[in-house]
Amino acid sequence: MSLVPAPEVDAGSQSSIVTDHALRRVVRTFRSQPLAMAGALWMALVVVTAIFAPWVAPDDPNAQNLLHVFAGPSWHHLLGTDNLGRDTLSRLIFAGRVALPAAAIGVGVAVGIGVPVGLAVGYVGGLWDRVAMRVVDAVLALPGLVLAIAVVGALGPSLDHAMITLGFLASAGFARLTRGVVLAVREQPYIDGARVVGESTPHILFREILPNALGPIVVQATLAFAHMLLFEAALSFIGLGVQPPQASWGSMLTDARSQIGNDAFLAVPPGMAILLTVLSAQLIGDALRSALVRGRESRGRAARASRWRTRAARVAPRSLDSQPRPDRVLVVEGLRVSVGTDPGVTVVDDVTFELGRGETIGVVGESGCGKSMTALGIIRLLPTGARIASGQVILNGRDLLALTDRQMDSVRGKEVGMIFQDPKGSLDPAFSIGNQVSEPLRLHLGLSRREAWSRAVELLDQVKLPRASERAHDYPHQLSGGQLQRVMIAAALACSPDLLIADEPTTALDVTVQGKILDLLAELRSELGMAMIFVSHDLGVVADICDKVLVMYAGQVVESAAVDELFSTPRHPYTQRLLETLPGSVMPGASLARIPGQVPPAESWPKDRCRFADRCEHAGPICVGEMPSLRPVEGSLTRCIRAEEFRTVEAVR
Amino acid sequence: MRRVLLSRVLALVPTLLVVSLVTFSLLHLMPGSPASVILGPDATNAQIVQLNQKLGLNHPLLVQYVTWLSHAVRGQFGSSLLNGQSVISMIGEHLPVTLSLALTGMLLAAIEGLAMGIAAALRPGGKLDHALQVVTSFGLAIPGFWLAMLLVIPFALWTRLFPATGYTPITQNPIQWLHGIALGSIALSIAPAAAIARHTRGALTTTMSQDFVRAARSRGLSERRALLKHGLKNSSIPVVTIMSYHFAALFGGALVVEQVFGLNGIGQLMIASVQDHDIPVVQGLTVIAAVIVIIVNLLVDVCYGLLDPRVRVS
Repeated sequence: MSLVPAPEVDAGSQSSIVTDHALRRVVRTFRSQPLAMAGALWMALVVVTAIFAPWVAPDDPNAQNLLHVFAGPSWHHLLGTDNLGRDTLSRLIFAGRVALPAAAIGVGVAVGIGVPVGLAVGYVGGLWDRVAMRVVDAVLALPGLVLAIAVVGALGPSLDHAMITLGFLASAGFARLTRGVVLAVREQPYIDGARVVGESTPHILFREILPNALGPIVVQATLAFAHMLLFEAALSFIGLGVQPPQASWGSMLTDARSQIGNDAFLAVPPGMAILLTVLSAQLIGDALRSALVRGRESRGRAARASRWRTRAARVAPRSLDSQPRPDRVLVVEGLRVSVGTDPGVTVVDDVTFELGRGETIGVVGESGCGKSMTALGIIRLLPTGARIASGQVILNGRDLLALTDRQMDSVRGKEVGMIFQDPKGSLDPAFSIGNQVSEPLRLHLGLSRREAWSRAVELLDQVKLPRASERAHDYPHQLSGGQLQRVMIAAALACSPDLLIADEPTTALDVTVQGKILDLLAELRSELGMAMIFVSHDLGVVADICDKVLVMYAGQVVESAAVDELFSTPRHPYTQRLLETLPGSVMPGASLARIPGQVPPAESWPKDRCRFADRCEHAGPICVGEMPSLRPVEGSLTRCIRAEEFRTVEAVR
Repeated sequence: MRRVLLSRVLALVPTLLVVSLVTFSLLHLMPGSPASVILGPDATNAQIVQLNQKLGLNHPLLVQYVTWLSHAVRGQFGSSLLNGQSVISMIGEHLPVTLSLALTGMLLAAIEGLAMGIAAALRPGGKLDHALQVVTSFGLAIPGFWLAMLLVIPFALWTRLFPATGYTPITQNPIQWLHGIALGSIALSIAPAAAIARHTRGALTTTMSQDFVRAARSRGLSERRALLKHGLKNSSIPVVTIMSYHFAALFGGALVVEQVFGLNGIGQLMIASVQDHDIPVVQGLTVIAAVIVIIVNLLVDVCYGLLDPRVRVS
């Protein structure tokens, strides 16, 4: 029973306008949600029976019949009678005439005071706003029921006095909500426009700004109504609400309490009436929110959309096509990742490559080409909604896609390590860096807390974090981006994995820091002998660190070659274009090339023709005739159907 | 950390000011002259003058307020108009019962709420999640005092597992103390537990979509482990906030639930004083209730510092 619904309806993030359109949305929501509909029907029943109580109630609520006390439910008395033989159902119905107006008074006062105050201080801003918000916080921190009782103590027992007090206190919540909406829309162009046209301030406040706040206010008012019902019941229960013999749900429970030894059933009907009516108000409020307050729904969806999914969806464990080759750490075969409900959109299409011990492969391409999805697919940490549709990922002779979730947990961090683009976001702000580097050590190697810590310090030292033993106690916010990436590397390499996946590890870092991190990676690789997948959109970086390169475009591998070969003789026009964007490839003074156009969204990737053809200056009719396959051309693999001709053209240039 | 604490304490000033203003004005909210209301219609003029003097009502309003405030900050709320006992000692007698109910209820609420929230967040959209959604809906709608009655019927009346009434001070017998307040605390805990559960679930699902959770998973933490370690700690701040927010409501609820068990706590005292127009007692109770809530909120604020290294290490 808190005074105001918890700040779930936070203002500002949503704006909605109550129009015919909104009304239709509300109707649709109630039709599609049976629970909300049930709540609305119950509330309607309570309201209607309360209004027409004298005609609807089977009996006079105060008519005593001492010959029929404590009668159980019967045809005459559907809910039985109380200690004075009064009909419980009739009393319940008449009690609605107490509860509903009382709650309405509370909500009315809360809205009547809170909304104008919120509008005013939000609009005026400055000192007024700050003072008002301080007071709002202060009021919201008070025990409302205690204050309401105290006011009744001064003004005399009256439900109205108590409800007005509670409404006054609850107005603070409405002020905050309204103010939030005002702040969000105050700087909108149409408000400025109204000001310029010379509309009066009240007109701007009530006609231009208020409509934006109506949705959230209606929702909060409904939830406040539920709280007020609970307050009314509590006040009547302790004898400070309506006075006997008038019935209220709360005071009926007082009677039931005193007769609890004689007839326990007396406690049931009034309590149920309160419970169901409050529940109905809350259900109505929730439904109104989903209909009127747009922000929440999409926020919920966003929260759901990005939970890291580990399941390899319906990939049948196949027998290995190729013989396990001991020198191959990783074999990725026909990896296909799709997004959305089945069959979904394919975002990684038939990616195949191999990686030997100590070897590094660069995966390059523009944003949206499926590089990161490939990397995340291999370690099985795809975001929710994305899944592996088919393929094999064979690490040390074992197909990772055939493992159970638990087995996969013991592979991550032990056999495969991963570092991410954003080191700041990838370290938990609430734990020290030493703790996070210790994690895999304790988990996979079973080290004690202390052993893991001292090993973590060694690792931090190894990644050249200065004063590692002291800094291990630091929290992520105390380190720079470059240092954090060193920490990430230390954690990823803690258990000496055979494979390190680096997903754009330097993109978020300063240029000067980038080089140092790359040097560190190269050094550690030769020290530890691990294989590495290096995802990057920067071919220059790839040239420094990789042995071979996989060029991806629109979810497909378009070229695969040894790094020297790729740089000297690119065999796909897309590779050629990427190379031209490198600063070193242009003459001094000339402007840097950009690849014209952009990667189309995955839904529109064609299935029956070259995906790059639309942006390719070499494209001809043959390119759009069929989907070219990846084929060997002099030691490289290329997907360009005109690879040979294109090379001749380029050679002439 | 010290600076954080200082700013939190300073932020209490407006709250306390609001409380003092409201409480002080209680006396003047009374219809007609306070003295005539308190003494009833049969009072003689001399009696009214005497009471006005006693209450300091013959001074200007501002002087009255300052005097009252200067006494209040020292815990002096005067003496009961009814029996002359000092207000603060009366409150001291009744407070332990209510505080026992409220604090135990809050502790239970935290445990129940966290457990339900975590259970729901382990598999969002799963069966348990949906079931808990229904449970918390009922939890938020059920009046605490009615729930207390529903608990009394089977556990105290039918089976006598718990006493239907009676309070033993914790200093006297901790087991009996707990036995006496158990049903009431459980009843009080349900509503805040439901709210805490919903917030825990929400905060956990949001946290679990953060990049650092993915990074932790890449180091081999199972989803459950990641949730219990990284998820929980990062969700603790919004959850703790909601806990402090609900304590005020829970404390008010405790006054009502006391009545179900016939416990002689703050609620009993408050109701009696309200019915007798014993304003000094009402004033004292209001201030003390607010101060308790404020102290709990302050303790929660201190927890922020312990939970968030960005606040602690600066």
